Amino acid sequence: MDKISGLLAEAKPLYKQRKRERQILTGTFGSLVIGVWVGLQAWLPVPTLSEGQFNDYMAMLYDGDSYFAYEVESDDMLPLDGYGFYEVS
Amino acid sequence: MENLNWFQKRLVKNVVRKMLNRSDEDVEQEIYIRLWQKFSTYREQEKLGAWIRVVAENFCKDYLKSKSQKLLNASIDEESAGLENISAPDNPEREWLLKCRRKLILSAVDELPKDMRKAIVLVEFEGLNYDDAAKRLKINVGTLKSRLHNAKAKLHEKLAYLEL
Repeated sequence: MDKISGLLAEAKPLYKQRKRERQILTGTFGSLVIGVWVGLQAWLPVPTLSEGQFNDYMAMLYDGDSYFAYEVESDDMLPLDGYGFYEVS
Repeated sequence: MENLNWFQKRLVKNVVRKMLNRSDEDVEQEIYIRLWQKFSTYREQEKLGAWIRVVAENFCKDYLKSKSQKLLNASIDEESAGLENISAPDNPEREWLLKCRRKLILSAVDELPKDMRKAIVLVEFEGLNYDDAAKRLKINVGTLKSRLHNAKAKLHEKLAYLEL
């Protein structure tokens, strides 16, 4: 068994070298992935609204018929109180 | 024995490259001779390729053993033996032999079962003591020692030809 320990000690430098190479490879690959991700964030166009589109959107939201479309209580023909809630008696 | 076909020659070449870490036509030729000499031991039931591989690997093991022995003898008494200075640190043959031996040792460690391999790596390569290695592996020290013992027994079987 001492001979085996001797052989393993003989192989230790190669183990250390391979471990270092593996770490460098992993680090390089990780850096590359992060770099590509950051690069994509910087270069890909971010979807933004132009001022005109924004104004149209706001107008649609506040002035259009679709805004507060959930006010259906009055359509149910049920009695409502002064605040617009169902009148419970 | 009939002439080897292209695949069988390729097989011998691959075994030499794997075991000796380089192509060596002289060794390949010697393997062909050994195959021819040992062909009487080949049984028809077994695959010829597997038999060739075993003979070639055994030849490479003998070759490495004799080279290692030569290195050891030369380092003990290189002057009186009149051999080339193979033990000199910058000798390319010595460098090759050491690299080859290290690679074979690591290959044998890689082939161990996972539990044994982890134990060997932590204790022998990373230099952890038994307590720390056992903690890292979440086992008790007795189990670790047992795994180390079994791992070394397996390595002894595989690497006996490298022990001097």
